[in-house]
Amino acid sequence: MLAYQIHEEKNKLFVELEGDLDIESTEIINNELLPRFLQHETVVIDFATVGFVDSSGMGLLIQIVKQMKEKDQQIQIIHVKEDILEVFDMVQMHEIIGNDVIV
Amino acid sequence: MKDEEIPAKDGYPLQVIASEGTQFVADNIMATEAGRPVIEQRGRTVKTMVMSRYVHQGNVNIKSGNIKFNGDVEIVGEVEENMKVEAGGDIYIHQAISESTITASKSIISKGNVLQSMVTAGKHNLLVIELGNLLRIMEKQLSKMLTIIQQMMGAKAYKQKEFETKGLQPLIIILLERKFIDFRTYAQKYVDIINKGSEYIDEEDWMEVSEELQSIFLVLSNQKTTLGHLHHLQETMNELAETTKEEVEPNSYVTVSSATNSTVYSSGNVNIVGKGCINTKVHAGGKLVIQNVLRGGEVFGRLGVSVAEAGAVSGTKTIISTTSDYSITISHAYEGTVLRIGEATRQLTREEYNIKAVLGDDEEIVIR
Repeated sequence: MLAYQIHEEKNKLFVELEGDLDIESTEIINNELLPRFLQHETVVIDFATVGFVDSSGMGLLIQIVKQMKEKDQQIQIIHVKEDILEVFDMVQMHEIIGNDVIV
Repeated sequence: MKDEEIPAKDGYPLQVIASEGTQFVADNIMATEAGRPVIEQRGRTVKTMVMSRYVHQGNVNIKSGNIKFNGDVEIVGEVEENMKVEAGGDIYIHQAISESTITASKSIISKGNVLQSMVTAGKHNLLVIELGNLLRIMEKQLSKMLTIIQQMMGAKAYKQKEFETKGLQPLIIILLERKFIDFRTYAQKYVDIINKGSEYIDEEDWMEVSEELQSIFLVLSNQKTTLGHLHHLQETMNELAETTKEEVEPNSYVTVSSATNSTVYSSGNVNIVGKGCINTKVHAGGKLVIQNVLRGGEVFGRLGVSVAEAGAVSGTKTIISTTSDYSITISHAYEGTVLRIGEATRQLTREEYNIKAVLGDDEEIVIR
Protein backbone atom coordinates (compact mmCIF):
# COMPACT_ATOMS: atom_id res chain seq x y z
CA MET A 1 0.00 0.00 0.00
CA LEU A 2 1.16 3.47 -0.81
CA ALA A 3 0.20 6.56 1.16
CA TYR A 4 1.36 10.13 0.77
CA GLN A 5 1.49 13.61 2.19
CA ILE A 6 1.70 16.67 0.02
CA HIS A 7 2.53 20.27 0.70
CA GLU A 8 3.49 23.21 -1.42
CA GLU A 9 6.35 25.54 -0.68
CA LYS A 10 6.82 28.50 -2.99
CA ASN A 11 6.72 26.91 -6.43
CA LYS A 12 7.79 23.49 -5.31
CA LEU A 13 5.57 20.56 -4.60
CA PHE A 14 6.80 18.30 -1.78
CA VAL A 15 5.53 14.75 -1.62
CA GLU A 16 6.33 12.27 1.13
CA LEU A 17 5.62 8.73 0.07
CA GLU A 18 5.00 6.01 2.60
CA GLY A 19 4.81 2.27 2.13
CA ASP A 20 5.45 0.10 -0.95
CA LEU A 21 5.93 1.36 -4.46
CA ASP A 22 4.49 -1.58 -6.34
CA ILE A 23 1.75 -2.60 -8.75
CA GLU A 24 -0.94 -1.64 -6.28
CA SER A 25 0.33 1.93 -6.39
CA THR A 26 -0.69 2.29 -10.01
CA GLU A 27 -4.02 3.99 -9.43
CA ILE A 28 -2.78 6.39 -6.78
CA ILE A 29 0.13 7.42 -8.92
CA ASN A 30 -1.73 7.76 -12.20
CA ASN A 31 -4.99 9.20 -10.94
CA GLU A 32 -3.97 11.29 -7.96
CA LEU A 33 -0.29 12.14 -7.95
CA LEU A 34 0.78 12.45 -11.55
CA PRO A 35 -1.86 15.01 -12.53
CA ARG A 36 -0.77 17.23 -9.64
CA PHE A 37 2.90 16.75 -10.44
CA LEU A 38 2.38 17.93 -13.97
CA GLN A 39 1.04 21.22 -12.71
CA HIS A 40 4.21 22.21 -10.89
CA GLU A 41 7.54 23.30 -12.20
CA THR A 42 9.45 21.48 -9.51
CA VAL A 43 8.51 18.36 -7.60
CA VAL A 44 10.46 16.79 -4.77
CA ILE A 45 9.58 13.22 -3.79
CA ASP A 46 10.74 12.08 -0.38
CA PHE A 47 11.39 8.34 -0.22
CA ALA A 48 12.35 8.22 3.45
CA THR A 49 9.44 5.99 4.40
CA VAL A 50 9.29 3.87 1.27
CA GLY A 51 10.20 0.34 2.28
CA PHE A 52 9.73 -1.81 -0.80
CA VAL A 53 9.70 -1.47 -4.56
CA ASP A 54 9.16 -3.87 -7.40
CA SER A 55 9.44 -3.62 -11.18
CA SER A 56 5.94 -2.36 -11.62
CA GLY A 57 6.66 0.36 -9.08
CA MET A 58 9.91 1.24 -10.76
CA GLY A 59 8.07 1.37 -14.04
CA LEU A 60 5.66 3.90 -12.58
CA LEU A 61 8.53 5.97 -11.31
CA ILE A 62 10.16 5.95 -14.72
CA GLN A 63 6.89 7.07 -16.26
CA ILE A 64 6.60 9.97 -13.84
CA VAL A 65 10.10 11.19 -14.55
CA LYS A 66 9.73 10.80 -18.31
CA GLN A 67 6.48 12.72 -18.46
CA MET A 68 7.78 15.52 -16.30
CA LYS A 69 10.99 15.86 -18.25
CA GLU A 70 8.95 16.05 -21.43
CA LYS A 71 7.29 19.14 -20.05
CA ASP A 72 10.65 20.55 -18.95
CA GLN A 73 9.74 20.15 -15.33
CA GLN A 74 12.20 19.39 -12.56
CA ILE A 75 11.94 16.36 -10.39
CA GLN A 76 14.05 15.21 -7.49
CA ILE A 77 13.93 12.08 -5.43
CA ILE A 78 15.45 12.31 -1.99
CA HIS A 79 16.19 10.16 1.08
CA VAL A 80 16.13 6.87 -0.75
CA LYS A 81 16.99 4.01 1.61
CA GLU A 82 20.17 1.98 1.05
CA ASP A 83 18.30 -1.20 0.32
CA ILE A 84 16.22 0.49 -2.32
CA LEU A 85 19.25 2.14 -3.86
CA GLU A 86 20.69 -1.34 -4.14
CA VAL A 87 17.72 -2.40 -6.23
CA PHE A 88 17.90 0.77 -8.32
CA ASP A 89 21.55 0.03 -9.02
CA MET A 90 20.83 -3.43 -10.30
CA VAL A 91 18.55 -2.11 -13.02
CA GLN A 92 20.67 1.01 -13.66
CA MET A 93 17.84 3.29 -12.61
CA HIS A 94 20.17 6.29 -12.50
CA GLU A 95 20.92 5.89 -16.18
CA ILE A 96 17.28 5.38 -17.05
CA ILE A 97 15.85 8.46 -15.37
CA GLY A 98 18.92 10.65 -15.37
CA ASN A 99 21.73 11.16 -12.93
CA ASP A 100 20.30 14.42 -11.68
CA VAL A 101 17.09 12.96 -10.33
CA ILE A 102 18.05 10.77 -7.39
CA VAL A 103 19.78 12.88 -4.80
CA MET B 1 15.18 -45.44 -55.69
CA LYS B 2 12.00 -46.55 -54.02
CA ASP B 3 11.39 -48.36 -50.81
CA GLU B 4 14.84 -47.72 -49.48
CA GLU B 5 15.11 -48.42 -45.81
CA ILE B 6 17.23 -46.34 -43.53
CA PRO B 7 17.52 -47.91 -40.04
CA ALA B 8 16.83 -45.56 -37.15
CA LYS B 9 19.79 -44.80 -34.90
CA ASP B 10 19.90 -46.10 -31.36
CA GLY B 11 21.71 -44.87 -28.32
CA TYR B 12 21.10 -41.16 -27.92
CA PRO B 13 18.12 -38.91 -28.43
CA LEU B 14 18.00 -37.65 -31.96
CA GLN B 15 15.37 -35.61 -33.57
CA VAL B 16 14.75 -37.26 -36.91
CA ILE B 17 12.87 -35.33 -39.51
CA ALA B 18 11.56 -37.26 -42.48
CA SER B 19 11.57 -34.51 -45.02
CA GLU B 20 10.80 -34.30 -48.75
CA GLY B 21 10.09 -37.64 -50.33
CA THR B 22 10.56 -39.70 -47.19
CA GLN B 23 8.32 -40.82 -44.40
CA PHE B 24 8.32 -42.86 -41.23
CA VAL B 25 7.07 -46.40 -41.44
CA ALA B 26 7.20 -47.97 -37.99
CA ASP B 27 10.83 -47.54 -36.91
CA ASN B 28 12.21 -47.05 -40.37
CA ILE B 29 12.32 -44.32 -42.91
CA MET B 30 11.16 -45.10 -46.41
CA ALA B 31 11.63 -43.24 -49.60
CA THR B 32 8.30 -42.37 -51.12
CA GLU B 33 9.58 -40.78 -54.29
CA ALA B 34 12.23 -41.41 -56.86
CA GLY B 35 15.31 -39.29 -56.67
CA ARG B 36 18.63 -38.80 -54.95
CA PRO B 37 18.63 -39.90 -51.27
CA VAL B 38 20.20 -37.47 -48.81
CA ILE B 39 20.87 -37.72 -45.10
CA GLU B 40 21.91 -34.58 -43.25
CA GLN B 41 22.96 -34.40 -39.67
CA ARG B 42 23.50 -31.28 -37.65
CA GLY B 43 23.85 -31.60 -33.91
CA ARG B 44 21.03 -33.80 -32.69
CA THR B 45 18.90 -33.37 -35.73
CA VAL B 46 18.95 -35.81 -38.60
CA LYS B 47 17.02 -35.07 -41.73
CA THR B 48 16.28 -37.51 -44.50
CA MET B 49 15.24 -36.38 -47.93
CA VAL B 50 14.91 -37.58 -51.43
CA MET B 51 15.98 -34.94 -53.85
CA SER B 52 13.90 -34.93 -56.94
CA ARG B 53 15.12 -33.11 -60.01
CA TYR B 54 13.52 -30.40 -62.08
CA VAL B 55 14.96 -29.72 -65.51
CA HIS B 56 14.11 -26.37 -67.08
CA GLN B 57 14.59 -26.59 -70.79
CA GLY B 58 15.03 -23.00 -71.87
CA ASN B 59 16.04 -19.77 -70.22
CA VAL B 60 14.74 -18.52 -66.93
CA ASN B 61 13.10 -15.19 -67.68
CA ILE B 62 9.94 -13.20 -67.17
CA LYS B 63 7.99 -15.60 -69.37
CA SER B 64 9.09 -18.67 -67.49
CA GLY B 65 8.91 -17.02 -64.10
CA ASN B 66 11.18 -17.57 -61.10
CA ILE B 67 12.06 -21.07 -60.08
CA LYS B 68 11.69 -22.38 -56.59
CA PHE B 69 12.01 -26.09 -56.10
CA ASN B 70 12.66 -28.35 -53.20
CA GLY B 71 15.09 -30.63 -54.96
CA ASP B 72 17.78 -30.31 -57.60
CA VAL B 73 17.33 -27.86 -60.44
CA GLU B 74 18.93 -27.97 -63.85
CA ILE B 75 18.67 -25.02 -66.21
CA VAL B 76 19.56 -25.81 -69.76
CA GLY B 77 19.58 -22.19 -70.90
CA GLU B 78 20.47 -18.92 -69.26
CA VAL B 79 19.14 -17.08 -66.26
CA GLU B 80 18.12 -13.65 -67.46
CA GLU B 81 17.96 -10.32 -65.63
CA ASN B 82 16.14 -9.92 -62.33
CA MET B 83 15.19 -13.55 -61.94
CA LYS B 84 15.44 -15.86 -58.96
CA VAL B 85 16.30 -19.51 -58.84
CA GLU B 86 16.03 -21.28 -55.49
CA ALA B 87 16.60 -24.94 -54.85
CA GLY B 88 16.62 -27.19 -51.83
CA GLY B 89 19.31 -29.30 -53.52
CA ASP B 90 21.86 -28.60 -56.26
CA ILE B 91 21.55 -26.09 -59.05
CA TYR B 92 23.20 -26.71 -62.39
CA ILE B 93 23.08 -23.93 -64.96
CA HIS B 94 24.34 -24.53 -68.46
CA GLN B 95 24.69 -20.95 -69.59
CA ALA B 96 25.13 -17.42 -68.27
CA ILE B 97 23.54 -15.82 -65.24
CA SER B 98 22.76 -12.10 -65.41
CA GLU B 99 21.63 -9.76 -62.64
CA SER B 100 19.93 -12.59 -60.83
CA THR B 101 19.86 -14.40 -57.54
CA ILE B 102 20.72 -18.07 -57.36
CA THR B 103 20.30 -19.82 -54.03
CA ALA B 104 20.86 -23.47 -53.29
CA SER B 105 20.92 -25.40 -50.08
CA LYS B 106 23.57 -27.59 -51.63
CA SER B 107 25.83 -26.81 -54.57
CA ILE B 108 25.78 -24.53 -57.56
CA ILE B 109 27.49 -25.19 -60.83
CA SER B 110 27.40 -22.69 -63.67
CA LYS B 111 29.05 -23.32 -66.97
CA GLY B 112 28.48 -19.74 -68.02
CA ASN B 113 29.58 -16.37 -66.81
CA VAL B 114 28.05 -14.99 -63.64
CA LEU B 115 27.35 -11.33 -64.19
CA GLN B 116 26.12 -8.87 -61.55
CA SER B 117 24.45 -11.67 -59.69
CA MET B 118 24.27 -13.16 -56.27
CA VAL B 119 25.09 -16.83 -55.93
CA THR B 120 24.67 -18.60 -52.60
CA ALA B 121 25.33 -22.26 -51.91
CA GLY B 122 24.70 -23.80 -48.53
CA LYS B 123 22.07 -21.33 -47.51
CA HIS B 124 21.08 -23.41 -44.53
CA ASN B 125 24.62 -23.46 -43.30
CA LEU B 126 25.10 -19.75 -43.75
CA LEU B 127 21.96 -18.94 -41.86
CA VAL B 128 22.89 -21.35 -39.12
CA ILE B 129 26.26 -19.70 -38.67
CA GLU B 130 24.67 -16.27 -38.43
CA LEU B 131 22.12 -17.54 -35.96
CA GLY B 132 24.84 -19.25 -33.98
CA ASN B 133 26.69 -15.99 -33.55
CA LEU B 134 23.56 -14.28 -32.31
CA LEU B 135 22.88 -17.12 -29.91
CA ARG B 136 26.33 -16.90 -28.41
CA ILE B 137 25.90 -13.20 -27.74
CA MET B 138 22.42 -13.59 -26.32
CA GLU B 139 23.32 -16.56 -24.16
CA LYS B 140 26.03 -14.56 -22.42
CA GLN B 141 23.62 -11.73 -21.76
CA LEU B 142 20.92 -14.10 -20.61
CA SER B 143 23.34 -15.63 -18.19
CA LYS B 144 24.06 -12.21 -16.66
CA MET B 145 20.36 -11.46 -16.58
CA LEU B 146 19.71 -14.61 -14.61
CA THR B 147 22.36 -13.64 -12.09
CA ILE B 148 20.76 -10.25 -11.57
CA ILE B 149 17.29 -11.74 -11.33
CA GLN B 150 18.54 -14.04 -8.63
CA GLN B 151 20.10 -11.14 -6.79
CA MET B 152 16.78 -9.35 -6.97
CA MET B 153 15.09 -12.34 -5.44
CA GLY B 154 17.37 -11.95 -2.49
CA ALA B 155 17.23 -8.16 -2.29
CA LYS B 156 15.81 -6.89 0.99
CA ALA B 157 13.84 -4.03 -0.47
CA TYR B 158 12.37 -5.86 -3.44
CA LYS B 159 8.76 -6.81 -3.03
CA GLN B 160 8.88 -10.53 -3.84
CA LYS B 161 5.13 -10.86 -4.22
CA GLU B 162 5.44 -9.59 -7.77
CA PHE B 163 7.13 -12.81 -8.80
CA GLU B 164 4.18 -14.86 -7.64
CA THR B 165 1.53 -12.76 -9.27
CA LYS B 166 3.22 -11.57 -12.43
CA GLY B 167 6.24 -13.75 -12.91
CA LEU B 168 9.48 -12.31 -14.21
CA GLN B 169 8.08 -10.24 -17.07
CA PRO B 170 7.95 -6.84 -15.30
CA LEU B 171 11.50 -7.23 -14.07
CA ILE B 172 12.71 -8.30 -17.49
CA ILE B 173 11.10 -5.23 -19.02
CA ILE B 174 12.98 -2.94 -16.65
CA LEU B 175 16.23 -4.79 -17.26
CA LEU B 176 15.78 -4.44 -21.01
CA GLU B 177 15.24 -0.71 -20.57
CA ARG B 178 18.87 -0.02 -19.84
CA LYS B 179 20.96 -2.75 -18.36
CA PHE B 180 20.40 -5.08 -21.31
CA ILE B 181 19.46 -2.48 -23.83
CA ASP B 182 20.93 -4.39 -26.79
CA PHE B 183 19.24 -7.67 -26.07
CA ARG B 184 16.00 -6.87 -27.89
CA THR B 185 17.91 -5.92 -31.01
CA TYR B 186 19.73 -9.24 -31.10
CA ALA B 187 16.53 -11.12 -30.35
CA GLN B 188 14.67 -9.33 -33.11
CA LYS B 189 17.47 -10.05 -35.56
CA TYR B 190 17.31 -13.71 -34.68
CA VAL B 191 13.55 -13.81 -35.15
CA ASP B 192 13.78 -11.99 -38.47
CA ILE B 193 16.33 -14.44 -39.83
CA ILE B 194 14.20 -17.39 -38.79
CA ASN B 195 11.13 -15.86 -40.41
CA LYS B 196 12.84 -14.95 -43.65
CA GLY B 197 14.74 -18.20 -43.89
CA SER B 198 11.91 -20.48 -42.87
CA GLU B 199 12.36 -22.67 -45.91
CA TYR B 200 15.99 -23.29 -45.12
CA ILE B 201 15.70 -23.72 -41.40
CA ASP B 202 12.96 -25.91 -40.11
CA GLU B 203 14.50 -27.73 -37.20
CA GLU B 204 12.40 -27.54 -34.05
CA ASP B 205 14.99 -26.16 -31.69
CA TRP B 206 15.76 -23.09 -33.78
CA MET B 207 12.08 -22.30 -34.14
CA GLU B 208 11.47 -22.87 -30.45
CA VAL B 209 14.12 -20.35 -29.51
CA SER B 210 12.55 -17.85 -31.87
CA GLU B 211 9.15 -18.30 -30.26
CA GLU B 212 10.53 -18.05 -26.75
CA LEU B 213 12.46 -14.91 -27.57
CA GLN B 214 9.33 -13.34 -28.94
CA SER B 215 7.06 -14.23 -26.09
CA ILE B 216 9.52 -13.39 -23.34
CA PHE B 217 11.40 -10.40 -24.67
CA LEU B 218 9.75 -8.89 -27.68
CA VAL B 219 6.04 -8.92 -27.15
CA LEU B 220 4.17 -7.64 -24.12
CA SER B 221 2.11 -10.49 -22.86
CA ASN B 222 0.44 -11.78 -19.77
CA GLN B 223 2.61 -14.83 -19.80
CA LYS B 224 4.10 -15.66 -16.45
CA THR B 225 7.75 -16.13 -17.23
CA THR B 226 9.61 -18.22 -14.69
CA LEU B 227 13.23 -18.94 -13.86
CA GLY B 228 12.61 -22.36 -15.35
CA HIS B 229 11.66 -20.80 -18.69
CA LEU B 230 14.81 -18.73 -18.75
CA HIS B 231 17.09 -21.57 -17.74
CA HIS B 232 15.57 -23.81 -20.39
CA LEU B 233 16.02 -21.11 -23.00
CA GLN B 234 19.62 -20.61 -21.98
CA GLU B 235 20.29 -24.33 -22.23
CA THR B 236 18.76 -24.60 -25.67
CA MET B 237 20.72 -21.60 -26.86
CA ASN B 238 23.92 -23.18 -25.68
CA GLU B 239 23.22 -26.50 -27.32
CA LEU B 240 22.35 -24.90 -30.61
CA ALA B 241 25.34 -22.58 -30.55
CA GLU B 242 27.57 -25.60 -30.01
CA THR B 243 26.31 -27.19 -33.20
CA THR B 244 27.18 -24.20 -35.30
CA LYS B 245 30.92 -23.98 -34.99
CA GLU B 246 31.66 -23.35 -38.63
CA GLU B 247 31.86 -26.68 -40.38
CA VAL B 248 32.70 -27.18 -43.98
CA GLU B 249 29.80 -28.66 -45.83
CA PRO B 250 31.41 -30.77 -48.48
CA ASN B 251 28.21 -30.87 -50.43
CA SER B 252 27.83 -27.12 -50.54
CA TYR B 253 30.19 -25.81 -53.13
CA VAL B 254 30.12 -23.36 -55.99
CA THR B 255 31.83 -23.95 -59.28
CA VAL B 256 31.42 -21.30 -61.93
CA SER B 257 33.13 -20.45 -65.13
CA SER B 258 33.72 -16.79 -64.42
CA ALA B 259 32.24 -14.07 -62.27
CA THR B 260 31.99 -10.34 -62.80
CA ASN B 261 30.58 -7.72 -60.44
CA SER B 262 28.92 -10.43 -58.43
CA THR B 263 28.70 -11.90 -54.96
CA VAL B 264 29.42 -15.56 -54.36
CA TYR B 265 28.78 -17.20 -51.00
CA SER B 266 29.43 -20.80 -50.27
CA SER B 267 29.61 -22.60 -46.99
CA GLY B 268 31.99 -24.99 -48.72
CA ASN B 269 34.51 -24.60 -51.50
CA VAL B 270 34.42 -22.16 -54.39
CA ASN B 271 36.05 -22.86 -57.70
CA ILE B 272 36.26 -20.29 -60.44
CA VAL B 273 37.50 -22.21 -63.43
CA GLY B 274 37.03 -19.92 -66.38
CA LYS B 275 38.49 -16.66 -67.52
CA GLY B 276 38.33 -14.79 -64.29
CA CYS B 277 36.86 -13.30 -61.19
CA ILE B 278 36.44 -9.56 -61.64
CA ASN B 279 35.26 -7.06 -59.03
CA THR B 280 33.48 -9.82 -57.24
CA LYS B 281 33.00 -10.58 -53.59
CA VAL B 282 33.59 -14.21 -52.71
CA HIS B 283 33.16 -15.92 -49.39
CA ALA B 284 34.10 -19.57 -49.23
CA GLY B 285 33.61 -21.53 -46.04
CA GLY B 286 36.08 -24.01 -47.50
CA LYS B 287 38.85 -23.49 -50.02
CA LEU B 288 38.81 -20.89 -52.76
CA VAL B 289 40.50 -21.68 -56.04
CA ILE B 290 40.65 -19.18 -58.90
CA GLN B 291 42.16 -20.87 -61.87
CA ASN B 292 42.85 -17.80 -63.92
CA VAL B 293 42.61 -14.14 -63.23
CA LEU B 294 41.47 -12.31 -60.09
CA ARG B 295 41.03 -8.57 -60.52
CA GLY B 296 39.49 -6.24 -57.99
CA GLY B 297 36.92 -7.31 -55.47
CA GLU B 298 37.40 -8.97 -52.12
CA VAL B 299 37.74 -12.72 -51.82
CA PHE B 300 37.91 -14.96 -48.80
CA GLY B 301 38.54 -18.67 -48.43
CA ARG B 302 38.32 -19.87 -44.88
CA LEU B 303 40.51 -22.87 -45.53
CA GLY B 304 42.91 -21.18 -47.90
CA VAL B 305 43.02 -19.40 -51.23
CA SER B 306 44.81 -20.33 -54.42
CA VAL B 307 44.92 -17.91 -57.37
CA ALA B 308 46.71 -18.10 -60.69
CA GLU B 309 46.94 -14.39 -61.37
CA ALA B 310 45.97 -11.68 -58.91
CA GLY B 311 45.75 -7.94 -58.97
CA ALA B 312 45.67 -5.37 -61.70
CA VAL B 313 48.16 -3.12 -63.37
CA SER B 314 46.18 -0.07 -62.34
CA GLY B 315 43.18 1.04 -60.31
CA THR B 316 41.00 -1.25 -58.26
CA LYS B 317 42.43 -2.94 -55.23
CA THR B 318 42.35 -6.69 -55.03
CA ILE B 319 41.95 -8.11 -51.55
CA ILE B 320 42.58 -11.75 -50.76
CA SER B 321 42.00 -13.10 -47.28
CA THR B 322 42.01 -16.30 -45.34
CA THR B 323 42.09 -17.41 -41.71
CA SER B 324 45.20 -17.52 -39.56
CA ASP B 325 45.97 -21.20 -39.95
CA TYR B 326 45.81 -21.23 -43.71
CA SER B 327 47.67 -19.86 -46.69
CA ILE B 328 47.32 -17.80 -49.84
CA THR B 329 49.03 -19.16 -52.92
CA ILE B 330 49.47 -17.00 -56.00
CA SER B 331 51.33 -17.86 -59.20
CA HIS B 332 51.54 -14.28 -60.42
CA ALA B 333 50.64 -11.34 -58.21
CA TYR B 334 50.71 -7.71 -59.26
CA GLU B 335 52.01 -4.94 -57.06
CA GLY B 336 49.30 -3.52 -54.84
CA THR B 337 47.51 -6.78 -54.19
CA VAL B 338 46.37 -6.88 -50.57
CA LEU B 339 46.75 -10.06 -48.56
CA ARG B 340 44.99 -10.71 -45.25
CA ILE B 341 45.61 -13.67 -43.03
CA GLY B 342 43.72 -13.67 -39.76
CA GLU B 343 44.10 -10.13 -38.40
CA ALA B 344 47.26 -9.29 -40.31
CA THR B 345 47.31 -7.36 -43.55
CA ARG B 346 50.04 -6.86 -46.08
CA GLN B 347 50.09 -5.10 -49.40
CA LEU B 348 52.49 -6.33 -52.03
CA THR B 349 55.01 -3.66 -52.90
CA ARG B 350 56.20 -5.30 -56.08
CA GLU B 351 55.21 -7.92 -58.58
CA GLU B 352 55.66 -11.45 -57.26
CA TYR B 353 55.75 -14.92 -58.78
CA ASN B 354 54.90 -18.24 -57.20
CA ILE B 355 54.34 -17.07 -53.68
CA LYS B 356 52.75 -18.72 -50.72
CA ALA B 357 51.80 -16.40 -47.89
CA VAL B 358 51.27 -17.66 -44.36
CA LEU B 359 51.06 -16.03 -40.96
CA GLY B 360 54.38 -15.86 -39.22
CA ASP B 361 54.85 -14.90 -35.59
CA ASP B 362 52.71 -11.78 -35.47
CA GLU B 363 53.23 -10.95 -39.11
CA GLU B 364 52.81 -12.35 -42.58
CA ILE B 365 55.58 -14.20 -44.27
CA VAL B 366 55.91 -14.55 -47.96
CA ILE B 367 57.44 -17.85 -48.79
CA ARG B 368 58.66 -18.73 -52.22
